[in-house]
Amino acid sequence: MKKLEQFLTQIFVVGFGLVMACIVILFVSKEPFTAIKYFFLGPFSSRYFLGNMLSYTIPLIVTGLAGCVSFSASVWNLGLEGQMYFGMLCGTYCAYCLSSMPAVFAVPIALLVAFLAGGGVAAISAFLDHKMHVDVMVSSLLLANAIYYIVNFVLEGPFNDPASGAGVASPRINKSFMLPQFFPPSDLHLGLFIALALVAVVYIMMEYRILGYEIRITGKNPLFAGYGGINTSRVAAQAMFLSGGLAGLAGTIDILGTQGRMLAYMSGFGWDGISIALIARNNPITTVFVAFFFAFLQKGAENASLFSDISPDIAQIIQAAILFLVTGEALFDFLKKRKRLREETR
Amino acid sequence: MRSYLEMTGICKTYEIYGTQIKALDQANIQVKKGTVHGLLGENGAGKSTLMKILAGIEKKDAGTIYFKGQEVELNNASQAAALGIGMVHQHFSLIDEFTVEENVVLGIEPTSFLGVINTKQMRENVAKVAEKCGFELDLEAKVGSLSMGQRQKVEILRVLYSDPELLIFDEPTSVLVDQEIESLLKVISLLKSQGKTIIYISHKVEEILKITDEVTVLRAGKTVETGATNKLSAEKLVHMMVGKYIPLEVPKELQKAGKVLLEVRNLNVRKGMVKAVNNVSFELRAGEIVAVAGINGNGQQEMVEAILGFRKPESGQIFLGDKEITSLTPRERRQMGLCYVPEDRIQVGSCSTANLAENIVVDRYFKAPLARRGWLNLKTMHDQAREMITKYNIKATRTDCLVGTLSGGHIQRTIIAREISADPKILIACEITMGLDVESARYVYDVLLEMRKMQKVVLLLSSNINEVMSLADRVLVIHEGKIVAHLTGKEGFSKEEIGEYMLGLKRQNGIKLEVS
Repeated sequence: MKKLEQFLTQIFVVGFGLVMACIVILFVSKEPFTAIKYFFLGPFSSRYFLGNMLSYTIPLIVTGLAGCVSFSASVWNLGLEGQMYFGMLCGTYCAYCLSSMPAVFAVPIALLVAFLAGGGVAAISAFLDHKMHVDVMVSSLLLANAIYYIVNFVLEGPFNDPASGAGVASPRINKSFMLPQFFPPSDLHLGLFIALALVAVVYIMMEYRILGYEIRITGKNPLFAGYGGINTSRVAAQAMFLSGGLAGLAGTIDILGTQGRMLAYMSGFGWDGISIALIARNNPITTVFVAFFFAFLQKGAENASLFSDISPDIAQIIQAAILFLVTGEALFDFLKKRKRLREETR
Repeated sequence: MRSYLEMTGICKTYEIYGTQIKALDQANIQVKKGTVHGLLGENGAGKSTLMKILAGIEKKDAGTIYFKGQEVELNNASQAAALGIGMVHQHFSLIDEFTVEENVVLGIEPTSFLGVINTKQMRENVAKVAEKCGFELDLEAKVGSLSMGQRQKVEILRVLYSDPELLIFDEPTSVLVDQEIESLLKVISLLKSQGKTIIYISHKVEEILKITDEVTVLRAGKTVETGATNKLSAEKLVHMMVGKYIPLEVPKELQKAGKVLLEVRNLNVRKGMVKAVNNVSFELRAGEIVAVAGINGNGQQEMVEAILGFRKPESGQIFLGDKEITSLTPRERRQMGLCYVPEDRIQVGSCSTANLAENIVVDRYFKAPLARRGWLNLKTMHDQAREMITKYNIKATRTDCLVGTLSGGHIQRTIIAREISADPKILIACEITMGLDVESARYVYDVLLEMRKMQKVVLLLSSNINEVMSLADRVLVIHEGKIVAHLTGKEGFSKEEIGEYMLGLKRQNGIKLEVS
């Protein structure tokens, strides 16, 4: 019953997003019907657009998973963007340094480094929380903002490809390291299967592993978890590390699949990951569909802006509207829970 | 002619842990103008509830209130305030970052043009009120920097600021040290001399005797007695508070205590600034049920948390058998045979959004047969849960139903099933039958007595004196963090005696804590 209710809410949220899209387009466009047509059908209109939309889904799935892991433990990791950005930098740099190695070794090493780098950033927040009771929500968010500038600095200076000119970017990595693209002319690449494999891994970990049980119970009721003997701060730190690591992977997979180098002042997958995990209610499998929906909004808006007169930023407006709805619902749940608690504690 | 204040036939029912609890059952109180009226009763007797109804914070289910001869309906706190009824709460609700005067005027700030706070006016007003009741307070100090006694004065000022005629003090001395209590009592007499009427809620008999003109005693939501204080003795009041002892019919067999299973040596625990547990030592032997009796908030919770490893003691040692466990984690202690049924079964003892099986394995999910090499064995987990449903008679059809959907009594059964099935040597049970129906409570008693028979030990924390007296082999009475009495019960216990120790009216000298 509860599950059905949840599912219907999610469908409603998606429907609401699409209706919102139409309304916004009606307001801003001189030729709304053309715009709406390209918005909805554009991403499916050719192999190229379809493949690119799916390719855009890949990092969103992985950052969404990163959100799921930490949010399941009620650890509010809002720094996915920073963890991803730093992971990307380290992964790209590592791949660049290992140019002479065969791809079979270099790519896994680069991915591992990206995972550790992202996890490392997240671990800073976990450590601050454990030692000094600095709220993870605050520290991770602030770190993300700081890291954005630090990484951009590195890309502007020490790790810059002069040839990239105004579009600041790192040097290209060895072509043989690139994940094969299999849906030409689009850049949809093998990373899709890596992302789906990660979904399976996270799902299995959450449901069938000891750590998953600990994360879920700690997230649902930390007092109860502590009472049962679970070391809740250890579990929170583990969830945080895994979450950061996945975020680090997300960006690096995208680089290995599409660009082949890191572009400065880009991305946003990390912020989207937060929304995706919230809407998917921390369910790894639902995450795939929500990530796809986000990619669709983004690519639909881009498409409509290519063939008619609206701006691609419309995607952000719609995402924001949906997020309001979702957090509003969460707030409603929270208020109900608080009311119940108050009645019980009297 | 009616009294200044009359509350008659007041009823109030709460739902707690899924059970209906009658907090007030036809309670009455009459208060004369210009007197200090004591409201005495044990924890949970309904004193605070009755007064919260008067202050408009809670709604009554039935009954009538007459104030100054007129029937009044009090639906919210501002209505009560408008009539001149103010309440000083037990727990302060002050803002630490604000100054004293800002806290006092909070919500009714004197404002000038465009709603800007008129600081000068505020300062004058607050200073006037403070002077009237003889408070020497730095009005510009931040509340966070004040002592508990000073904070209480701020709280009192806040109520006096709107100039009420009738003031209610809810357990005002529970957070104060001795000198502060003295000065509070002075303030109360001063307020009385200024013509205010005061209702003084307390469970401390000495204070009631010292300060009140009249007293009303509540027990289990009913008014037991109202009368002039000077006609009553401490003994009589205690007797009225605790009532008659009704033994529970539990088949307790005589048996000799075995070897020491748990020993606590010179335990000191601090909770913030307060010394919650003060040099407590005792030992528990196999085949015993030992009760810790005490009014809520006298350190028993902190003591239990220290024994279980949830709270770090300041000093002292805890031994399980002959092994010291003082620095072990809660999980290590659980593995050694320590189990715990907490008082808060909804927030601590269970996870209402997790399913029954997940609830049952929380202390053992990580070891065989439930897990191997990091993998959970879900089948075994659900099998075990199914077994428990049958064995402990839990009203649940499926092992994957959420615990939050069970009734309070069955949530408690789930918790007990988990704790007992861990085969503990020592069970610490806090308010284990609170809110349970007769049948469930009966069942819990059987479980506890069975443990005793099996040469295990139960440490029973309960505010239900009948339960303590019927089940316990020994009673440790705790008052203000100290063990003030150790009753071995060879001659049986007397309810009045336990009550007097609990209320701090009496204490034993040279307490012997070993069993001969």
